Amino acid sequence: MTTSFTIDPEPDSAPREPLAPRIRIAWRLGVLLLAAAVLAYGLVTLRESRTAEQTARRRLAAAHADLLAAKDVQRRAEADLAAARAAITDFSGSAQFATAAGAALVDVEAQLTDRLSRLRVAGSTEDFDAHNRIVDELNGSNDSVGAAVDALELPFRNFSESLGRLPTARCAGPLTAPITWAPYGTSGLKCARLAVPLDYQHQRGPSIELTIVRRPADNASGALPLLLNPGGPGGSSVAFLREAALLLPTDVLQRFDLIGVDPRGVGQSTPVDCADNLDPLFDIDLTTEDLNARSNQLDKIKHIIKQCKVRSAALLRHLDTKTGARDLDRVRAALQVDQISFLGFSYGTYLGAVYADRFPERVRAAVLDGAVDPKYAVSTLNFDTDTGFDDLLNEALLDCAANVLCPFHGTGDTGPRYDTLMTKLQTAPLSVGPRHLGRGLAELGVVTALYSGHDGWADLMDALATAQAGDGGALLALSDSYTGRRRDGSYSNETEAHYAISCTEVRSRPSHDDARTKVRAISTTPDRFETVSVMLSIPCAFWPAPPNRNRTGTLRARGAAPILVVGTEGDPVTSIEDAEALTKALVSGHLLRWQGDGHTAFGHGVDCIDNAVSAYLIDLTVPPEGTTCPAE
Amino acid sequence: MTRTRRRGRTLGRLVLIFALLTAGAGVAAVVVGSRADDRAVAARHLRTTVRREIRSAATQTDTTNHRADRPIGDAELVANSVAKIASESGSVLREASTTSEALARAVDAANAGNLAGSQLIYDGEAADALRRLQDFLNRARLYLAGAQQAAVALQVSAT
Repeated sequence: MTTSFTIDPEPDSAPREPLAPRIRIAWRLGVLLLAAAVLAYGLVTLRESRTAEQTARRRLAAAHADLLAAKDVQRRAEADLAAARAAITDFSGSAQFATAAGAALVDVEAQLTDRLSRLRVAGSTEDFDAHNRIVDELNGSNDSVGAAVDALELPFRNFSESLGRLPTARCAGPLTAPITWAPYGTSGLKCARLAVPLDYQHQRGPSIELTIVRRPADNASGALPLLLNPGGPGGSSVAFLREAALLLPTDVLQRFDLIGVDPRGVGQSTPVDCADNLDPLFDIDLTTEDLNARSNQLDKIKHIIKQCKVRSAALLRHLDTKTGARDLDRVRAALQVDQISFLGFSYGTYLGAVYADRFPERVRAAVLDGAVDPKYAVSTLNFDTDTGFDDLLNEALLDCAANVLCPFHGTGDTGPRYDTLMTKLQTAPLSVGPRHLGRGLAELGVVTALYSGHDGWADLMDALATAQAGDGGALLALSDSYTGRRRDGSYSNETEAHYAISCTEVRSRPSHDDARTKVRAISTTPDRFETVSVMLSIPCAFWPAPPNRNRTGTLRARGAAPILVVGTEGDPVTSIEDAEALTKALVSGHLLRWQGDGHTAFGHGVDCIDNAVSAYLIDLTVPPEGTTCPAE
Repeated sequence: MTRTRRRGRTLGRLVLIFALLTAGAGVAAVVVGSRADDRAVAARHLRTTVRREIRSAATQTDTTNHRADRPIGDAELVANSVAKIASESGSVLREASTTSEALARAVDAANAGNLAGSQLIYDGEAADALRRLQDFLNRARLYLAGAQQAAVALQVSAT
C-alpha cells in the first residue's frame, strides 16, 4: 500500500523540473498523514483486540474459577449424598423398630375400641351379668393403652435421635417474600426460601438465602407459628424440627405450626464452608512432650481455619447474633404475622433474647431453655473444671462404683480407673480402623455423653468399658456425634457454622500467642477436660474474621411479653446461674427451675416441665414465681 | 540551488522512511491485533465450553442434591406418621376414658333400675364417644399404613 505513494522515484538521469515547493510539502504531509492514519488504525485495532483478548481471557479465567467452584459444589453434594445414604441405612433399622412400636400401639387401641364397643352392645342387651363384666373389664382397659404408650417412650427417643442425625433435603421452593410454601418431602412438611441481605447496612447489596421448614399444626384452626432454634451455635433448625415433632407435647403440636429456620451460615441456608477434611481440628495430641510437634499441629489447624476465608469470606463478617435476629424478623414479616412464639435451646436462648430485645413488640411468647448468660453469649468453648462437667462425671463414676452391674465398675474404683484410662490413651492411643482415639477425642466423647445428664450415663459407662478393653469405637462415635463427623470422614456443616458464629460472638477470643502459650503449657499430666477444652478453643485464635463489635449491650427486652427461662440445676453446659442471670436481665423474665440434670429440660418427658411450658406457650400462663420441678 | 534540492530530496527520503516505518508499525499493530482477536475468539470458544461444563456440573449437582430427597422424605413420613400415632394416643386415651365413664354410668343406671336412662346413655353418649374413638383409630391406622409403606420404601433405598 505504501509503495503506491512513492514520491521520490529513483534518481533522475536527466534533470527534472522540481515540484513546486508547496506541492512537495503537501505530498510529504499527505504521506505522513496517511502513514499516521495507518498507524492510528493499527494502534486502535491493536488496543481493541488486546482489550477484547484480555476481556475474553478474564472471562475465561472467571469461567474456570466458576467451573472449579461448581465441581467443588458437585463434589460436596456427592459427599452429602453418600453421607445421606449412610444415615438412611442407619435410620432404616430404627424406622422399622418405631413402626413396629407404632403398630403395637394401634393394635392396643383397636383392642380397646373393640372391647368398649362390645361392652356397649352387651350393656344394651339389658343382661345384668354383662353389666358386671363391663365394670370389671373397664377397670383394666385404659391401663393397657397407658402401658403401651409408656413402652413406646424409649424406642421413640432412640428413633428421634436417629432422626436428628438424618441429613435434611434441599428446599425446591421459589425464593419469594411473602413466603410461598412448597412440599418438603412427602410427609406433609412444607418448605420455603427467603432472600435476606448479606449485610443489613447495605440492603441493596448481595443477598443470601434462608431455608424455612414448617410442620403444620395438627389442629389447623387458629394455628400459631412457633419458631425453633436448637442452639449450637451451628445446629440446624430444619433438622431439629423433625426431632421436635417427636419430642414436644401433643398440645403444643396441635396448636402450633413448628417453624424451623436454618440461621445464616447453617445447614440449608447459605452455609459457611471451610474445608472438606476437618480431622486436623480434632485429631491432635496436645500432650506430647515434643513442644515443636504441638506447634506443628497448631499450624495445621491455622491452615484449615484460613480456608474459611477462601471459601466463605463475605459471609464470615455477617454472622453475629444481632444479624441473625434481624433475619428472624424478616421471616416473621414473610410469614405475614405480627408476632411470633419462640422456643430456643442453649445458644438459641441468646438468639431469642437478642430478638426479644431488638423487637420486643414482636414476641408473643418465648421459651429460653438451657439459658446462656447474656454476658457471654456463647459458653460452649470451655469444658474445664469451672463448668459442671467434672462434677457430673464424678457423679456418673460414683453411680457406677455403687453398681456392680455397671460395665465400668471394675473393683469399684471408677474414678482412678477413669483417670488411668485417659492417661493411657494419651500415651498409647487406641486404633479404631485407620483412626486413633487419643485423650482429646476420648474426652470429647465423654463430654458428649454428659450433655444428656443421667440419660447419657449408661452409654458413657459402656463406652469407657469398651475403651478399657481396647476398643475405642464407642467413645470415638460419641465424639463424632459432637463434631458432626460422618462415617465416610466428611463433616456436616455444624462444626464450621459453630466456629463461625462462636468465634464471632465469643467474649474474649484468644490471640495466636495465647493459643501457642496455652498449647505449650499443657502438662503431660493434664487435668480432666483440660486437653479438650484447649483443643476446642484453638480455632477461634486463628479465626479469619473480626469479632462482633456490634454487640447488644445489656439485654432487657423492655416491653416484651413475659418470657419463660428454663434452667436445670445439674446442667453441665449452661448452669442454673446462667438461667438466673438471664431471667434477671430480662425485664419480663420468669424462671422455671428443674432439679434434674443434663443440658435443657423441655420435651424430655418431664411432666412438670412439659405441662408448665405448654401452658405458657398456649395460654400465656406463666408458672408461679419460684416454681421448681423435681427430678423424676 | 543544488544544495537546496539535495536537502529537499534527503528530507523527502526521510519523510518517506518515516512514513514507511509508521505505516509498517500500523500494519504490524493490525497483524498483532488480529492475532489477539484470534486468541480472544479462541478464549471465547473455550469459555463457551467451560460454561457448558459448568451447566453440566450444576445439573449433576442438582440431580445429586435431590437423589436423597426421596428416602429422606420417606424417613420423614415414617417419623411424622409415628409421631402422630403417638401424639394422638393421648386423645384416644381421653375418648376411651369418656366412653368408659359413660358405660359405667349406664351400668349404674341399669343397676338402679333405670333401664331407659341406661339405654339412653348406651345409645347416645357412649355411642358418640365410641364413634370419635373409632375415628381416631381409623386415622391411626391410616398413619400406620403410611409409615409402614414408607418404612418398606426406606428399607429398599437403604439396600
